[in-house]
Amino acid sequence: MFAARKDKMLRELPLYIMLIPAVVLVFIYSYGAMAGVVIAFQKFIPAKGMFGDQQWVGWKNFQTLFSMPNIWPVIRNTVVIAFFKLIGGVIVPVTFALLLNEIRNLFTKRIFQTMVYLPHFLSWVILSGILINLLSPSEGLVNIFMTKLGIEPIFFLGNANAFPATMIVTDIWKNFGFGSVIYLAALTSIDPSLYEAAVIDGANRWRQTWHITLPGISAFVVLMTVLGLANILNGGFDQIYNMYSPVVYSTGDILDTFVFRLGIEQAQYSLSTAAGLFKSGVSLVFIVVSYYLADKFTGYRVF
Amino acid sequence: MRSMDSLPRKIFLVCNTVFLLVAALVCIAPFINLLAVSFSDKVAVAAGEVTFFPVGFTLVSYEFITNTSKFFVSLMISIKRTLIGVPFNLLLIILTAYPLSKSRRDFSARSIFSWFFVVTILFNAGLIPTYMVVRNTGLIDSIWALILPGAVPVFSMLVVMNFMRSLPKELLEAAYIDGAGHVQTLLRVVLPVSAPTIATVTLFAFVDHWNSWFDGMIYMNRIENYPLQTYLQTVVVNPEEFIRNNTDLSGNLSKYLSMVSARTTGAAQMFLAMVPILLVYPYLQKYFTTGLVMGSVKE
Amino acid sequence: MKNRVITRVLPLVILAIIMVFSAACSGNNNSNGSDGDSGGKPITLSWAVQTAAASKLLEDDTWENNRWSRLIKERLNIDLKVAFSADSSTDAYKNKLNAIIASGDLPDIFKTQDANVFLQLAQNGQLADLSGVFDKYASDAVKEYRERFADAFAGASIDGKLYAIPAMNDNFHQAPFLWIREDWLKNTNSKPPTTIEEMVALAEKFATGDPDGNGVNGDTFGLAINKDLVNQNHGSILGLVAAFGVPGHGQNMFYRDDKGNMTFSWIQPNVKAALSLLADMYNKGLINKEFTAKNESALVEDITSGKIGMAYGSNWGTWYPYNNVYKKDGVIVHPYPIPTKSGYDYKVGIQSNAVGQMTMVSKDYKHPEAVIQILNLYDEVVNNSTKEDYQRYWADEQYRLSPIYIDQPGEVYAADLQKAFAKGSSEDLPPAAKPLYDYTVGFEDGSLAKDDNAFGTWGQMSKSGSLPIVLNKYIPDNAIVQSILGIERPEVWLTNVASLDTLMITTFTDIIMGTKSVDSFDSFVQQWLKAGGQETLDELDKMYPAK
Repeated sequence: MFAARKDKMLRELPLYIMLIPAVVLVFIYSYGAMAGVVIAFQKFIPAKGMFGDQQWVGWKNFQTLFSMPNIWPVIRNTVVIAFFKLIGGVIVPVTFALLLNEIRNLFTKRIFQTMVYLPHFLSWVILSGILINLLSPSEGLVNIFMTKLGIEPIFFLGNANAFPATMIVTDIWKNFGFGSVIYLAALTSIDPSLYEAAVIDGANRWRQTWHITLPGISAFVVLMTVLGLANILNGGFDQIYNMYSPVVYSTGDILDTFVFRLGIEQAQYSLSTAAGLFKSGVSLVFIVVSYYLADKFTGYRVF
Repeated sequence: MRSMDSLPRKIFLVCNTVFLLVAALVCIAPFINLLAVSFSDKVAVAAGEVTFFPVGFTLVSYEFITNTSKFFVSLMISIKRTLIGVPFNLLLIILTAYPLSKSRRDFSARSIFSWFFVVTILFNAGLIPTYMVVRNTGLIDSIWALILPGAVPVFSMLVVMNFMRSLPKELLEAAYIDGAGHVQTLLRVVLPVSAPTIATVTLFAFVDHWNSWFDGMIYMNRIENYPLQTYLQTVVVNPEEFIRNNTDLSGNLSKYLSMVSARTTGAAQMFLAMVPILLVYPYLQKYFTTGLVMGSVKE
Repeated sequence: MKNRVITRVLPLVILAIIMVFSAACSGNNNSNGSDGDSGGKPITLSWAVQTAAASKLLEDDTWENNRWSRLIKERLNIDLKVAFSADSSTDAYKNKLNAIIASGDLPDIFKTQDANVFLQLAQNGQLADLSGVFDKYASDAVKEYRERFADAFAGASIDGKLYAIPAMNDNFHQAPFLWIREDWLKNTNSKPPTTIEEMVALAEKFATGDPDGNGVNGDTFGLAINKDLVNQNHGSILGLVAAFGVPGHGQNMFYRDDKGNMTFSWIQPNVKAALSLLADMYNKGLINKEFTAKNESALVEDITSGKIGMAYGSNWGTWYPYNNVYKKDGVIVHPYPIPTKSGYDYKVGIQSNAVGQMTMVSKDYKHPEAVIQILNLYDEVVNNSTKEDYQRYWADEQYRLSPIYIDQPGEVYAADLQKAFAKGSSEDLPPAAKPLYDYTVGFEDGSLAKDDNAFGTWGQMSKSGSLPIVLNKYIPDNAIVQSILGIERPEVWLTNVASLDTLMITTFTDIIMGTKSVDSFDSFVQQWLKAGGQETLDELDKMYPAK
């Protein structure tokens, strides 16, 4: 028995060694910096120095944060926007990858792939300028188009009801090309002989997709969804900051823009670290729960 | 095969192509607009006259950005950090993903290590603690400050790990039977078939390194050490942010405001940033199409 | 077996921990430049460089070795060292400075615009007390600045100790104006409005008529406003509320009212009347309907494409954003005094002179007098020497190369320039004002008609420019109210300012758009006071006692 243990150790040894560089680097640079979350429990004054005599205030920063007026609508907005971005951010890229996969001409396929990839690189600063014009109720192309179809113009960026949907849709549009890269790669990992067998069995393309393709990439879909939960409280600061306005605060103000405004008057490191810690904590809970749910229902441990 | 397509299938294929074409055009439209803006006269741009073609064609914006030696210095730094950083990333990704892709049976501690890495995606203590660690490890003003802190891209690593996990067991068992240890298996068997996913994370690593500007700003004390994007941030002044940061200089603001960049310079900056990526992506695309060839596994 | 795993990983872990903490405790302190004394050995001074897109390095200058560093070395035997450089036109410098401060690596001399950074450093004993060395070493000319800008120096002092050299500013130029396109006035046969009623009538002509002469009615805006409403930028409502006696200015306008009580601009009862007017105008289509989606830079397109002909704005309109209109159409947008309303004394609000950029010296620096010496040198070379010196050491943003400079905006010279124009010569002007004279005159006589700087300066300084309006009308009318809010701010304000501000801006926006009735203003005031506003006023009353 001891020999078996020793044997196992020797077999696993190379694996441990392979992990050493990553573990050390991550330990120093990620965990080392993580220690700084103590700022959330202090009244942090940079002038006193990082390891200086900072005042400990326990949970006070969190209390301050959560007793601010509007914090709960802000959190709700954040969750709603992030949630739909997550769902759309998986469904649309997957669908796109599947549709693109049906294109036979390799050249066309590659051209399309490259083109849809581009919006990802446009900054929200620039895109917001374009969108403000595009979505204008009086002169924007979108509304002009809608009026021709007999639909009332919508003030997308100035209407609290339309704003979150606008943010969600534009974000999905911006990122689906980039997001599809992973699924396109995953599609290549599916064994072609499975398709051949299915064709012989008389399955049409829809059935093939349903029974072979989707299960084949399901591992990645689950992974992306679970990892996407790490962003459950990230509504998308850059995007919203550049396009929101007081009229849409009620549905569009998210945690990050809220905290950002807090910080304008001074370096409110304590409050913003507390908000960050809160976000991290919630994300952790979501990830842990979904990890175990995925395990329970599919027997698949996501990571 | 094609002639055997049923009519519904043919219709689908045509509709699909048209649909994707429209989607692709919608995606490329802002980009074309941006390109046109970057070559246009800034007053015409300010008046909103530019749609898809430059108005008052000029190279002024590009000249403005590339005109200083600082531009080329920072370009070199970006190239350097990318050429060092991306292979570094890949090495660490592969070395980490492989052990973690083993099942519990083959590697008992794998779950602990997985969570060890996943947690780092979630928790970020912010600017000051991150700066402190880099400073205390002596990396300020060193190009390694742009490489080491982000050396393990956990997200990419998890993608590769999952891919490796999905490889058919027969492939690995065949190697084991042939007497290959882990290292051999990794090099001879796993890596070759992982080309699509490795290409994917290479792309991600490349984009990350090329586009990142925040680390250059915080970790470099000297402008000579700025990577390209950090440098471009200093050249292209975004009016909103600028005014927000300088309202206390209200008196001097008028002179400063003449510094505020036309949208043309912002557009030129964006385009410059994208060019290398547009070159690399098609090159990597050809790896996305290779896949498993089952016939290679001998029973 | 598990122990074997731990014994493998543990040493690495321990090693890593040791690395991090030993480096942390080593306490990097490379900011002491102290190997020098007056006996011929050079003194070192490390400084934080603020780069900005405007900063220019000419010839072969670098930040380490340039005309100022050479001048300072030659005349004062001081070696300048760059501690770090960061961009001050974005958040970069601010963030970098805070990180450097937290790590304890303070440079010998550095600047900040952030009142809190200054306050915290001073309160934590990190800054050198400059009062002594200032009194002892400052030249007479420099000491005069302290007299002229007493407010600013008082703002940089705590308990009587001078902890920084302040920006020497007089904020009179922050007043609002009404900017109108000259061609639209002509096309509609109108005169610039002097009363609010006239302004509204003009807005109606602009909004419903055809002021741009393109044959289409109603495709132009009446009065343009931006979504921020109260920030000091173009398209604000500040000029309008001022007519109702409300000296609004940003989110911080605290002042003592006629009875001497501490109050806040946005809770004044007269705000209600102003908002009512705006709501009415919006309802009638006299205000750009989509203002809620437009920040100031989004308005630029509407301005340049010729949709906007009238808006309240700041003194620098010809620099930005109306420079584009001139370039594109050759049309000048002129500033006019804000229209008034009978029954109200108009009041314009400006920021306190005590707030601005501070140049600070680290407590650990062994030669604070060196800083004053550089200041003396700066004043001598730039303000009291030859034109060549001025060109070399100040013009083209070269003053930024000096670690400390007299931080004085050109606007301060407005009064001097008016005198020079009357005289017809620039010879009596301080050197810093001379280029401004040249620009203005050059634009007027046409020699610099195409020059951006000339147009910008002309729009501020000329007889028909913005600044003389303040000098000749606002000041004599006693309309200027200055905020008392200096460096020290109450804790309750700092914590609540964001939510109070949100409350204010959402209420105002809703009232203007008609989603809420004007009477909701009253409940806004109650809410504001309850949510920390009243406490703030009480604290401020103590912090800034009435004189």
